[in-house]
Amino acid sequence: MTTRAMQEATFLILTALADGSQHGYAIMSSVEEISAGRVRLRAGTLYTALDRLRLDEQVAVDREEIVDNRLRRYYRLTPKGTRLLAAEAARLHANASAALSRLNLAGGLAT
Amino acid sequence: MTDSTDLERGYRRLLACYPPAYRDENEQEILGVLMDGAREGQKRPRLAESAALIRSALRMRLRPRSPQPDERQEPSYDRGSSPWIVVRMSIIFLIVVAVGLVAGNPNPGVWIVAGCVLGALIAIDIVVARRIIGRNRRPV
Repeated sequence: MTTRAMQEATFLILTALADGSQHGYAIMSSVEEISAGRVRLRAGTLYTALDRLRLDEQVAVDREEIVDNRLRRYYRLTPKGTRLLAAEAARLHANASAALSRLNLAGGLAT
Repeated sequence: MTDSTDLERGYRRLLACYPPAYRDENEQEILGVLMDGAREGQKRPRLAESAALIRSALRMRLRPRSPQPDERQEPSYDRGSSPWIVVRMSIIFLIVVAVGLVAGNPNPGVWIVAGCVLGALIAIDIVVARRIIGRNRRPV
């Protein structure tokens, strides 16, 4: 079990795949949507990450389709990817809760 | 139609930077994603998109890969190439692509931005290559 923080792009890609398999362009769109437009993945960045995640067995190819004469490959989370994403989400949630709690104690969120 | 063909050709040139084995498996898929993300009437790959592709291709070439089921007998580096040769070729390619992308653009700002991006990429590539070469010198 790694204790190193996951890169944000990796976290967002895994999150995009959390509720079902998606193809490359759909992953890029989901990442932009999940991050409220803050993170826009380039194709080069996405495929570098996907290659690494596949080698690390966090993501696997689900199926392939041909659409408009182009190969469309769908990716899905593996059990390992699901476990690591859940652990990272819990870690981020705990950190965020601690920050909000301390800000509230300090009156930092007074409106 | 012509725009789309020109754009596709431009993307294919960039995808040629990837290792042949990776390209055989993924080129059509990545090309589809790039074309899906292209703007209406776009004629050439955008600078940031091009830079991300070249950076990704360099990483694929320099990164020692875990053996895949169908390449267990292959060396850890793609085709056994020396990382430094790859870096030198990549730097030359970066320069050619950058010049090609901004050529004919009269806006000097584009040249300045392209120069900064190019310099940063070359510096990053050299740092990454040195790290990998250092790791590679240790006994396996």
